[in-house]
Amino acid sequence: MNFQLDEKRLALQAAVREFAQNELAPGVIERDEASEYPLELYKKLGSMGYVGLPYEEKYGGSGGDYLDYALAVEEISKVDASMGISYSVAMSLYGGSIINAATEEQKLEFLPDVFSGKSLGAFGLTEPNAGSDAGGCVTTAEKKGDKYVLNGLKCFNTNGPLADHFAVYALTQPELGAKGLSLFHVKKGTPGFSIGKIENKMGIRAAQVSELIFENCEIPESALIGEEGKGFKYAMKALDGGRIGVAAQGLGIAEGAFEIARKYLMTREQFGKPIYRNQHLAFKMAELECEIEMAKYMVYKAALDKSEGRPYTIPAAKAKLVCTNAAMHVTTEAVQMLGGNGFMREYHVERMMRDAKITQIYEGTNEIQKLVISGALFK
Amino acid sequence: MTDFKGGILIFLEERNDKLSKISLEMVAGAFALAKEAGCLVTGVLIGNQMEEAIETALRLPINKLVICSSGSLGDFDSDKYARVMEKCYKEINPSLVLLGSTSVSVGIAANLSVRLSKGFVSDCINIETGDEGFCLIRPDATGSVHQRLVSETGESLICTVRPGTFSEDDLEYSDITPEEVFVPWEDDVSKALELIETVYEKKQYADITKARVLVSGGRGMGSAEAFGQLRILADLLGGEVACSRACIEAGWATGPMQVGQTGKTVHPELYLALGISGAIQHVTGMKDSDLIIAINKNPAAPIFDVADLGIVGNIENILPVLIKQLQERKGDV
Amino acid sequence: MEPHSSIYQSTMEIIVIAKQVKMADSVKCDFAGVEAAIRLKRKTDARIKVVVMGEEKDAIAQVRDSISMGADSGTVLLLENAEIDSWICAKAFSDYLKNENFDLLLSGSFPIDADTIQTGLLAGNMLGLASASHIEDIDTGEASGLLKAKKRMEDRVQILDVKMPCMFAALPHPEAPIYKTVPGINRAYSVDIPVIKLDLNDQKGKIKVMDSFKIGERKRGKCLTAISTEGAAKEIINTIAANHIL
Repeated sequence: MNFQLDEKRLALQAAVREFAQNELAPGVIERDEASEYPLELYKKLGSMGYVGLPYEEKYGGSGGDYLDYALAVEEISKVDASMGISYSVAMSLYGGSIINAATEEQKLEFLPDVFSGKSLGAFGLTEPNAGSDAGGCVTTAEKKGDKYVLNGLKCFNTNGPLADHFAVYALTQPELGAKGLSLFHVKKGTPGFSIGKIENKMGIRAAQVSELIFENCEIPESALIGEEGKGFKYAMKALDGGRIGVAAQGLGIAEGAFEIARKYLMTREQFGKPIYRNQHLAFKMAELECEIEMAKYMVYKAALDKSEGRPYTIPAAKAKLVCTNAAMHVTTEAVQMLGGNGFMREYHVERMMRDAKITQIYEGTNEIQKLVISGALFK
Repeated sequence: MTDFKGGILIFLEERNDKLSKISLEMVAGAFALAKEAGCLVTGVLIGNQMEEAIETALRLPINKLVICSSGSLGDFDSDKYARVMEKCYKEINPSLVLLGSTSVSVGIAANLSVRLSKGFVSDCINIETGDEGFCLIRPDATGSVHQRLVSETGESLICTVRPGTFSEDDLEYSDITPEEVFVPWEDDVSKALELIETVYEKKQYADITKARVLVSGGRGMGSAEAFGQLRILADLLGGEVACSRACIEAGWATGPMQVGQTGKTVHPELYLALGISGAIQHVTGMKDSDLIIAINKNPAAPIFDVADLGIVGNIENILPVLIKQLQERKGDV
Repeated sequence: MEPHSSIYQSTMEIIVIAKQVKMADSVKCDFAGVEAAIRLKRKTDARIKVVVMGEEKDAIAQVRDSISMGADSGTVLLLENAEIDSWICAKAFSDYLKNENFDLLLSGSFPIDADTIQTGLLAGNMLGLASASHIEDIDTGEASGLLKAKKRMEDRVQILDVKMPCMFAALPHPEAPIYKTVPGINRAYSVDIPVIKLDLNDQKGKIKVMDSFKIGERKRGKCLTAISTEGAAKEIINTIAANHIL
């Protein structure tokens, strides 16, 4: 069992880190405050091949694997968690929905734009009355001749206002409930499809999250991805991949906050000595360091399981649970350790704490993750 | 045994018909060395339309002034200038060829070094006389150690010297006019390198590693507005603005301005550290500065351990007063 | 990014040389040369080969990083002992380059950072190439076989027409970093990087290190605590003037 990242992966990790430090770090506080997404930076990442990491080149990807992708999300999230989730949603939730179920023709049509980083992708599953109970969707897709007509409202869609491509789940057979859910590709600007309220959030404020409104939105039947009625399965599979992305995001947030705290503890002096000399703080950091390292191996393992063709649903759920809890815990402690300064925007950790909170909630709340994990335990 | 008999040959650099500041510094340094070594100093002035520069050069405390003037020598071409220097070298046989380190001289020095097959040492920070001839002192490639270098073969050496190593103030102009020698220039037909155009423009971003004076701000500046004031101070001192990493993260400054472990290493004549705590990551990048002056409100800030002059005080109060006093001073002259 | 050759113009062959400097806990690498090469490659068909002189592991790493950024291939000239005379170093580069086909030779510009400006210019001159330093920008020239170079002097910029083959010491552009790309990284870890051992034993240098001394640790100077604002400003100005800076 080799726990070392090979040279090439280390090079990739270092390259993303360099980009994140030089390009994403400046202005991250301002973007959070103004709730502004740096689309040009995302596109720049794409132009260098860093978007689309886990996907094949024929679909516009970079021919890497899921661990490469997790490493990239991690490095980005150390600096800018909003960019981290935006990237993850486009790749795992939108990308994962399409790649697992579409025909070759559809993949070649709907993926290259997003995997090359030229445009963003978004995922439309959640509704006001369908959160954890994703099967409780009421958005419908009525077949009319050679078209489907979509009606309904999706909410909390990351990248909504900015994406060109959407993976939307709607009921083709409303009477069957979850078993009547189907997956569709919808393009921005389709008549009858509009962006609704843009959310004003506690954290990941630079990421754009909004409602998707469908009012007699007509899409061609070629926009159906996979089979009717199999939508719920496709959504769950996409979420499995997405959980690895969110876990990597949480890991990155935790590491980013940890490093800020570590440096602070070495330079801040009180009572004539740097505060890390206080055993309580040093011991606390030792505990957090262990927590982060445990989380790291959870997400790297889940990513490798997926890359190497092993079942990854449970590993992904575990990684998501552990990494996002680590993110919340480490950032909260970091704010406390930085004292009054930790409360101030310019020290970053308060933003990281606000960013961490949602990671415990989206893409399956941590309670859902426990449901998934315990569900497998008692068979 | 090496001796100094050949004396020192100095490349005098003129810009827009004025002898450059660094050339005057080189003459000052060479004069002192020549006195110690008991040898002669020859200056070489190459260019086009240099009446004023020649006039200044004739008042310098040098023994001989070689002038090579021609219409085609106004381009600072290293190959042409090195050919002139080679001619002078063969006539005079100096023990040391001295050039001030500039964008022009380093090309000339390298070219001359290969023509004459003599060693070339760049970026010297001092020159001494010793048993093995002229001894050149410069930081090694790591920048952490100073080396004393001498000729391996006993032959003469070519060196470029950092600005500010010798002082123009030490220059004593002389009543005795040096011997004037005119060297003709023979143009060549084949031109591998040709100057097409000269554009006088200010760079878009400042290269802090070349600045003689750096006004550097840290987190203690407090705000983007306050940081912006540093430009005024830098202009008054003829320098550039630099900063610590904290200012990059705060968005007050951009990457190229950062000094430190993850930024640039600088060695200006003056480094003004304002509101910089002096953490090791920053100090690593500027401890080689000739003069460090620091202002910080925290008396325990580590910057004071490396500053030649430290002021414990409030920058918001001191900065405007400093600017005002400097403006008044400029007004006087 | 594979350059496609056009029938109207052949691919420009660029070689970048860099010498590494071993520090206490790291290695100083100069990327200004390879960055200049990549900027030129963005404007015209070019093939970039990087030649790095240093210890094996670090030099291979620099070649890989260069290819990740956009170079096409690289070679390592193995330098086992740390410091050699810049004359010997330049000779080693020029001996290697004598057998190489190239249109443009590039190096970095800063002596202290990685000792390349001296070495680069000396090598260029040893090869009899028209050489220029402090080159900020390079473009293809008006006629084939010509390059247009922008030389940044202290007070002006010179636009030069230079016949290939030639040598430039390039200035870095910290405001426009060149990042490693995923295709670049893939290439860097799949190409073969030859390592050539240098035999420098009979080489005689020109410079001898007599001795070296550690730069004196900076000591705490004068520190004034109870001084008035006016007094502080005055003290600062007087100190600056006393050091001949004003």
